[in-house]
Amino acid sequence: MKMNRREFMKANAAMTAASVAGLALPATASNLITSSEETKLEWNKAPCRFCGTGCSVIVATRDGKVVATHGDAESEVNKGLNCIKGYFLSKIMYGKDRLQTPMLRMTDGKYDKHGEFTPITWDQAFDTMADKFKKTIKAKGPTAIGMFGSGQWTVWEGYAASKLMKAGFGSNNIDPNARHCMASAVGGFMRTFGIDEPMGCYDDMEAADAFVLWGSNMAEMHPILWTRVTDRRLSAPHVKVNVLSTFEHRSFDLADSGMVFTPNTDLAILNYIANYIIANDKVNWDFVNKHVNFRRGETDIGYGLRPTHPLQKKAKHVDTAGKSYPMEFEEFKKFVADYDVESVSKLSGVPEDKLIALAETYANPDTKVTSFWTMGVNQHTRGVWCNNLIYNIHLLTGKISTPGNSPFSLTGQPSACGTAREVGTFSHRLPADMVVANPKHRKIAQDIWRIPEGIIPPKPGYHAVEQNRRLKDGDINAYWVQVNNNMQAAPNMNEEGLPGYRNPDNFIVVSDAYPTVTTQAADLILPTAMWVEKEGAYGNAERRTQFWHQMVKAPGESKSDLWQLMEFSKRFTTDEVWPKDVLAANPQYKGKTLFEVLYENGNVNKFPLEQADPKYLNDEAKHFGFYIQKGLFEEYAQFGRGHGHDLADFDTYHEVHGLRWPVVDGKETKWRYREGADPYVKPGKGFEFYGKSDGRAIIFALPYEAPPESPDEEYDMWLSTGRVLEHWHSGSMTQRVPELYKAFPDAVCFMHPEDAKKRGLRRGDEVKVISRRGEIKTRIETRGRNKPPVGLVFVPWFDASQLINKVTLDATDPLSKQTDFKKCAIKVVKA
Amino acid sequence: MSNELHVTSLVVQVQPEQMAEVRQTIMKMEKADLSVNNEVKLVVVLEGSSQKELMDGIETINRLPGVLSAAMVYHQSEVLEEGEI
Repeated sequence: MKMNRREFMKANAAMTAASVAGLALPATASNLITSSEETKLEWNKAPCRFCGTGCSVIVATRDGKVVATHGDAESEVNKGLNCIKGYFLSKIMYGKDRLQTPMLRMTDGKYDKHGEFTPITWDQAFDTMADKFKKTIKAKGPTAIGMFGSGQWTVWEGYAASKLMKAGFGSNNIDPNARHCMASAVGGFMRTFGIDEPMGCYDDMEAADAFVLWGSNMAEMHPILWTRVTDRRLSAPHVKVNVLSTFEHRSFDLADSGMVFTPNTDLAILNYIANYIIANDKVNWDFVNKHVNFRRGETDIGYGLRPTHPLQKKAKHVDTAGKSYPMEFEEFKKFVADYDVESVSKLSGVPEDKLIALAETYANPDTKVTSFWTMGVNQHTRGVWCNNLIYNIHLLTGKISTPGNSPFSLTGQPSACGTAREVGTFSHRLPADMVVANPKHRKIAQDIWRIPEGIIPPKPGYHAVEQNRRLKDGDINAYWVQVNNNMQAAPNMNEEGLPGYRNPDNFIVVSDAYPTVTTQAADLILPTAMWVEKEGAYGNAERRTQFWHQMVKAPGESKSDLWQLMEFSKRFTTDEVWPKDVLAANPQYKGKTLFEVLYENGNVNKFPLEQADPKYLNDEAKHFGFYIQKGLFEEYAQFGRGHGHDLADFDTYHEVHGLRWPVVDGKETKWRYREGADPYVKPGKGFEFYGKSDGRAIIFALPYEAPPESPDEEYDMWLSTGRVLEHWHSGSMTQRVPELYKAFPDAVCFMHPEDAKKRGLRRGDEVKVISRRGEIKTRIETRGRNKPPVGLVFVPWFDASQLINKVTLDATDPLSKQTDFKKCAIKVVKA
Repeated sequence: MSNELHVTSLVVQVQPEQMAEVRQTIMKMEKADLSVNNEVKLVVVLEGSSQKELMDGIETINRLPGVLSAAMVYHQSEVLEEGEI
C-alpha cells in the first residue's frame, strides 16, 4: 500500500503517541510505519529549561539550529510526554529581538546613566563595569556590590558566581530569585529535617492512595506531573484527589474534594488536621517515639517589612523570629486542641464535612498520602511555618519516606534545587546546605576553594528584597543581574525596585538573552547564551541532576553567564579587593588575578580540553583552554560527597537520563531517611532524619496569625497573583514564541460575576486594580479557567505591560525573607 | 495559502463517564483524527497549516468538559510540494 506524506506523518504521530500512552494500535496500522524521514536531523537529550519538573526532551538540530523537540521516551520523569511550553522549546532561542551585542547607556561616546543604549565591545563593557565595581569596593567595601541570579543558572554557573562573590570579592550579597519562590520551602526543610529538599520522589505518584494539593494548581503549573496524578486517579478508582486553593482553578476538574479557603487560613486547617489525628488516637506512636521531637516556635514575628513600618514596630518577636523551644507531646496536644472543626470551618470558609474528610485522609493509617505544594505555601508571610505544619501531619502519622507517603514541595524553576539550593547561591548559604555564619562551614569552603581565611564574610549578605531596598538607599552601588527579570518579578517595584536601579549613584548590569523590563532599567546589558547554546546541568524537584551538551552556537556576540563571570574575574587582582591583613598573612596570593585564584586553582583547571566529548561544541571550554564545566562540577561535588549530598562523577551524567542524589556507589536514592532505601540510614534504625544530630525530625507548634493586610472598607478585595500554563517565569521567553503569546495574549483580572455586578462591571471592561502602593489597568474576566470566590481577584503575572507587582505588598516571611505575592488588599474600579 | 503541513499527536486524559461525549466532539473537529483509546485515555492526531492552528486545536480539546489534560507527544512540520496540497 502506498502512503502519501500526509498519511505517513499522521500515522507516525499516532503510533508514537499510542506507544507513549501504552495503547496498542491495530497491527495493520503499525505495520505501515517504517523508518522516520528525519534522517538529516541530529538528536540529543536535554532537560527542558522551563520549570522545576525536569522533563527530558530530545532536541533535534539541523545546520546549527534547533529545529524540533519531543518528549524523551526514556525519561522516568515525563515518559515521552511534553507540555505546551516544552513543546515550543525549539523556538525560544530564535526570537527576532534576541540581544546580540553588549549595550551601554551612552551620550557623546561616554557612559551616561541617562544616555541611550549603544552597542559596544565586550572589552569596553568589562572595562566600564570593572571600573565601577573597583571604585565601589574602594570607597565602601565589598558590601556595596551585589549580584542577583536565579534557579535558571546551570549548576556550574551558579557555583562560579557564588565563588566569585564570596571567595573572590569577599561579599555575601548574592541571592537568587529563587528567594521569591523557594526560600520558605528551604526554611521549612532546614527547620524540620536539617537537610534541604524532598525525601521522596516522583515515583510516589504511582503509589499514593490520596493526593492533597495545598494551593498548587498543578494542572497548569506542572502539567506533566499532573498527567501522572491523573493517570493514577483514573487507573485506580480508590484513589482520591483533594485540592485546596483560595480560588477555583483547572486542577479542581480532577478533584474528588475541592476546597476554597480564605487566604492565610491554611495555617489553621493544618493545625486542625493535627488536632484531629491526636483527638482520634491516630498518632503513629512507634514512629513518633523513635523519630520525632516537639518544639514550640516563636510567635508574633512580624512581616519582614522595613523596620520603620508600623506593622513591623508592633511585632514583639522580630529579633528572635527563628527561635523555638522544646516542648512535650502533651503541650502540643493542648496547643492544637484550640483548632476544632467548627472554628476552623468558620475561619476558612471550608465546610465542616470536607475538613473532616480531609483530616481523615491523613489520619487513616491505611491511606498513603502525597501532599503537593508550591507558591501558595511558599509565597506566604508564614511560609516556613506552613511548610513545618505540613510536615507535622506527615510526621504524626509516620507517613513519610515510604512509597506514596510523601510531603512533596514542588519547585518553580528548572534548577531552583540543583543550583540555587544545592550550590547555595543565597546570601547566607554555602554549598551542600552549609552557611556562612558557621566558622566550621567557612573553613570547609575555604579549604576546598584553596583560599585563605578571612575572605568569606561570616555575616549573611542582603537577600533579594533587601537588595532592592539597599539599592534605593544607595548602600549597594554596583550590581549585576543574571538569568532573570527581577524588575518584573520583585514586589513593590514602584517604591523600591525602579528607584533602586535608577538611583544616580548606582551602576546596574543585566545579562539576558532578550530585552526585558529589567534590561530596560539597566545601565549595561550583556547578551547571553541560553540553554543548549552551552553545556549545562540542572537539578529538578526530586533531586535529579541532569546534564546536556552544547548543541548550537549562540548568536552574535552572546556569551554564556559562565564565560561572563570568569572573564570578568580576570580584571581584578587580590590586591584590589582582598583585605590587606589577609594578603600580608598569605603573601603567595599577592598580585594574582581573581581568575587565577578562583578558576586556575588546580581544581577547576584540572581536566584538559581533550576530555570533553569532541562530538559536541563547547565554546567556553575552548576559550579558557580547559574543561571548565567538569572542573567546576568536580570541585563543587567535593562539598557534598560523604555528607548525604553525594553526586555521581561528571562523565556519568552525560550518559544517563539523570540521577537522584545522594548517589552512593553509583546508585541513586529514591527515598531518603528510610533504612534500605537510603544508604545514610544506619542499620536497625528504621528511619533516621540524619540532618538533625539526634536523628529526629521536629514537629512544631505554630499558630494561625493574621496576614499583614486584609480587605477593609476602602480596599475591599483580596488580590492573588500567579501564572497560566502557556507562560512561565515573567514571560521573557514564552512571549517570544508567538503561538504561546497568542494563546493568552494579555493578562486579565479574574473576578466572580457577583463582584463584577456589584461594581457595575461587565466581562471585558477595562478596570484599574488599585492598592495602597500602586495600580494597573487591565480587563475583567468573569468566565474561563480561573474562578475566584466572591471577595477575591486573581491576576496572572507575566505581562510586561501590566505589571501587577506595582500593586503587591513587599511583606515577606520573616524567616525565609520570601515575598507574599498571594494576598494583599485592593479595590477594583472602572478605568 | 501556506503550503506547510504541521502534524501533532496528543495523549488526552478524560473522565471516563464523559469519554463518549469527548470522542463525539473531537470527531466533529475538521482537522482532528481520533486514534486508539481506552476508558480514560485517547490519542488524537491534529493537522494544520501552522503551529498556531495546532495550538487552537489543542486549546479547543483542552477546554472540552471532561478533558483533564492534553499532553503532546510528536510534532512534525514539512513543506509540501505542489501535488501534495
